[in-house]
Amino acid sequence: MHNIFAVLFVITILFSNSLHAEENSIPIHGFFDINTDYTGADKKVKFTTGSLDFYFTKNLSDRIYILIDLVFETTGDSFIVDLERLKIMYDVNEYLTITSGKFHTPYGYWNTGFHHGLQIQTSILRPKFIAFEDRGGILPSHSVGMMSEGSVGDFDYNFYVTAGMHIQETNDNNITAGQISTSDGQSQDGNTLVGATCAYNFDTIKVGLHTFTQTVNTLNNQSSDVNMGGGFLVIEENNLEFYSEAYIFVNHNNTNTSTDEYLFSEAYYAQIAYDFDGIKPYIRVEYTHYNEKDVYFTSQVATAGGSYNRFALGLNYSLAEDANIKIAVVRHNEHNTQSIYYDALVQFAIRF
Amino acid sequence: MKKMLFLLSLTTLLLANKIYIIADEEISVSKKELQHFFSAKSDYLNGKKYKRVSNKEALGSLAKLMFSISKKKLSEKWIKQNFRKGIPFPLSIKNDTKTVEWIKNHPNTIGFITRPDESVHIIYTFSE
Repeated sequence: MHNIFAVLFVITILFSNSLHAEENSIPIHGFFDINTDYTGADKKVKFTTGSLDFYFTKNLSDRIYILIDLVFETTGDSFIVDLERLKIMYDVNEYLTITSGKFHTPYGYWNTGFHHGLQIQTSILRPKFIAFEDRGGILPSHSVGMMSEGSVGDFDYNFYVTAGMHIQETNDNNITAGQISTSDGQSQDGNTLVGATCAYNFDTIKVGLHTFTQTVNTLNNQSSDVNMGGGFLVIEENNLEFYSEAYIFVNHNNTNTSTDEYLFSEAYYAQIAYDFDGIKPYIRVEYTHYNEKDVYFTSQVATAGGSYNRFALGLNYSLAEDANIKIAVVRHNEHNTQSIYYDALVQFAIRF
Repeated sequence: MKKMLFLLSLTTLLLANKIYIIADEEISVSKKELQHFFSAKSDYLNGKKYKRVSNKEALGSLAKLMFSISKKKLSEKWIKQNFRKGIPFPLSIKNDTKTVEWIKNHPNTIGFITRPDESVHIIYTFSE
């Protein structure tokens, strides 16, 4: 039923815009992607329509603006609707903006630099460990709460306090058991996620640090004190793109048999691409090591295959300013099962 | 007559390699501040917030003159920055006359054109 309401909402906006002058309308933008994949794990070829992302923004005044990010994703014969972002922003001054609502959790670079609009992303896939919660990610890519952010000269900062994530116990609507859930604010036991990110811009080079902490309810009445810290290095100079991020976890189990032991886990990726006037090859490497005693990771279906490393070689070609075709070959190595397999992927990504 | 036509053609040719940054009010800004503004790194000039208005046909020249990058690369910067922050994508107008008209009818906007226009203040000029 809520799918129908989402469709009606979009139609209403489009119709309203047709009746009003430009300054009274709500600008609509969007993205969609179409995919053809050969997956080596099950040796199947799949054709999927990806996601259709409608993106509405509006300046309510010189200082106040809103954003609505509504994504339709196909699931077999039907589709689901995800309200990915719903936020209001207030410019206190040129150094500080306050945001309230649902937003990209501002850790690292990729999670705020790219989202469901795959046309603006060079690669087909996100790094696996920072995939969206419902796509196998191990981090809360969306959060509901408050955020303060801004820039002072070349120094960027971000501080956020949001409803905490938990590991879903049972299947519920769009959330599968074992996935991270942010429950759109209805966090269990009032757990709160607190985090901060900062970065310095050396012209075309951005260097940053990030951290967050939360007690996370996992499965079977257990919980984990999750403490993440790390950094990122981004270079975007003329035709060169280099993205890299590091995540170090120092967690502590809260279980019946837990000790005072702190458990270390880590995840990294690095991606490099070069634009030869619309033809952009890229390479990406990913590495993770999840501590097998850490209930934060053992509870997640995303880490069911255990730690992994992955290598991707791809090509992004601009068909037009707003349309790209991408191809990639991805090598997976899952450490627990010691299995190695390959995927071949093709994606059309459009912006409108 | 022929000489006049030749001179006009030459002037037009020379002017075609220039980009004029325009606003409805006269302000003084540095190239770095303008680069930050047009790459969507900042929405502020001289401490005041402005909207960006782009002349689509001149976007390629601006990208090359100001940033030594392609039009697509500059457009990508704008999109990434705006997509993250949630402010509207910069308005893109097809020709200089319409850009000037839009600037005059909308306060707090900055745009760029390829032909000088006396009805708005030219606050910076780039030439190849």
